[in-house]
Amino acid sequence: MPEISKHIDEEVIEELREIMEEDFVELVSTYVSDSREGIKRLDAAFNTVSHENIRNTAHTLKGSSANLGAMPLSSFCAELEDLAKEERTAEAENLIERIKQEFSSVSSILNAFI
Amino acid sequence: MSSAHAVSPDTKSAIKLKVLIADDSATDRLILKRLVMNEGHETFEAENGKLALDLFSQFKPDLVLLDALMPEMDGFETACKIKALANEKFVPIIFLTSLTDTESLVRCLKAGGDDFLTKPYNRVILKAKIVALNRMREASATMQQQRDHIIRYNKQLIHEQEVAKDVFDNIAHPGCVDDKNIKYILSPMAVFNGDLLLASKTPSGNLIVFLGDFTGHGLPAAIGAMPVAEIFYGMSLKGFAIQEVLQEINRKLSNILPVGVFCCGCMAEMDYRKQQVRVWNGGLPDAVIYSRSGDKVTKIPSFNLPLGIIKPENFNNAIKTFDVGEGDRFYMSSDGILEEENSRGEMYGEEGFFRVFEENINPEKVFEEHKQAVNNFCENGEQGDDHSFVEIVFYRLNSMALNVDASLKTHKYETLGRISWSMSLDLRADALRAPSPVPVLMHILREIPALQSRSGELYTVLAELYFNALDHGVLGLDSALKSSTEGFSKYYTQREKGLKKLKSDSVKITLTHYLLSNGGVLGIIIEDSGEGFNTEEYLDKPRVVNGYCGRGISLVRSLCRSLKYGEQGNIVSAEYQWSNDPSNVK
Repeated sequence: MPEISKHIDEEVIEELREIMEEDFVELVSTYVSDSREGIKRLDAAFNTVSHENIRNTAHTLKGSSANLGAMPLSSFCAELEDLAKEERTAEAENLIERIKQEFSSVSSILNAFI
Repeated sequence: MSSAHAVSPDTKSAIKLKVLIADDSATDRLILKRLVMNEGHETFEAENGKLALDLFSQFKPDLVLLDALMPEMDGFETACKIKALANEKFVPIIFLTSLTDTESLVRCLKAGGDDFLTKPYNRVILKAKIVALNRMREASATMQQQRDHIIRYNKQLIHEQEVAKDVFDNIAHPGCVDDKNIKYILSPMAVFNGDLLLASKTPSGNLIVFLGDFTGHGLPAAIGAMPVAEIFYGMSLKGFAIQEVLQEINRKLSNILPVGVFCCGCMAEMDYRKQQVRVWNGGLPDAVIYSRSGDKVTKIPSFNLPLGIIKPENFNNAIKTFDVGEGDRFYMSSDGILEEENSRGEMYGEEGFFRVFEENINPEKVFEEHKQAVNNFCENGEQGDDHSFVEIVFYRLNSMALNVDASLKTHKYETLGRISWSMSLDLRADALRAPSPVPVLMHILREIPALQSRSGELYTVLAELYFNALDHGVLGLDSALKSSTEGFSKYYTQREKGLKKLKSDSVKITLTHYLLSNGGVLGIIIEDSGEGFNTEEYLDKPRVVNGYCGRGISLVRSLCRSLKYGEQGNIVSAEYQWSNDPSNVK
């Protein structure tokens, strides 16, 4: 189990739990499954060198991760979005790898919350 | 961060709004929906721009939360289309964005965004933004309601004014201003015109015109115009002299108008038979007589205060009389023309007005030249005041043309006579001081159908004979006085004095209506209590018809079958004859 504070802002999660009440579980599982799909799309886009797809997917992942308090993951996505904007995705292989690792930590922590 | 319970009632907004959420991330939609619902609002969610537009059209939300980057249709395009769909209604759009560069934020604003919300969403900030934008939305809606209310009210007001104008136009109609010899411009600044133009034919065929300019514009000015028009038409059609019409208008206006409201006006009577113009000007710019040859401009300045100011007993209704002939032109204008200003702030003034006469070559074009000159001066800009301008071309009313058919004159009066009725009117001092009895007599005579179309001629005959009897017979005034303008006013001063002194004097009018087989004869006998005059000397003298005097009797003579004076000269008998043959009806 990764150290929570390195990956997730617990205060954000606590507030979300309050706001969402019984829908909190749905929120977290939606986030996890949507993000997993997103990461798959990132891989595919990287292989086909589609800057546009990488940019859009990174943008969405950046926003929803920030909303769930997954700040490090959100900023990796922001970096990737910027690279894609400049059409420099060829340099993004390592970054995508880091995003995958970070997401796996975030999802295991979140799964523990529900 | 606050840990208060999110759905406690006191944190809910007072008003339930419909909020459209458009975001392609399911996670973000879930959070936003919850945040918005917890504030007591209703939500509709869309995962792309196209769907958002559909929902917008269907549910007409009050507020839109819009993600900038979305598939299908992005937030910028969606925002533009939503603003277009909302039309005048203000629907606030909050952009959901983690975009932070200036360029993107400017794009959001240009597309119609009203505010931003960055991720991660903050409950307190979102609530504050919704409240603030809703306040703007309400202010805008209130403004539009008030604007619509004003538009509705204004429409109603204009409608009411139009209805009132119909009534007004029926009363203050311009009469016979569409006669061929009259040209005019009236420039209303509102539905109602502050200027008033009235024209009417008198029973004797004269034209009376009145141009009035009330202080103020629109409704207040129009209200004063109504009694003026009523009096004007009522009295002029019955044959009252313009002095009497003016006296009555002034009396009425000074009674009804509040202090500070009055009517500048000019009234003129065109006597086509006597070839005279009689003018009263109270407060309007100079009236003008422009000779047919274009070489003489006679100015008739205002010589009285406007109507509605002076008490009836002090009102001066004296008129000025001018000799005119066929083709001479008479002009009246309101001060609107003289007060026109151009873009350099210069006034058109009398100078501009009279320059047109000076530069005119063909008098027939002078009216158009006036219009053109004012337009040129204003560089075709907006007109300031109401401005009105009237031209009347003088013509000669051929009294012979109005005369009874020549063949009728040969009829033997005695062979036909059968008295239909007879009446006599004995006027004593008080009645002689009162306005002329001729209109009353005309009223009776119009009961004879054949005379209705001849009332002009009859009026002339009766008025001439009556005033001769009163002025020369009873009062002993010398008609030679009237041969000059100065003499004219002296004449009227003497007349006023004489009328005041009357005691046992009288004028007796006897009218006898004889029926003929195809028409009739009206016998008119007028006897006055004066000393009479040497009729032989008077009637045998060659007639001088250039002055103001002397025209009357020759006119009567031409209209009547016979005209005889008694030996002493204080009794006159005239016979006016007509035919029922429609071909002879004038």
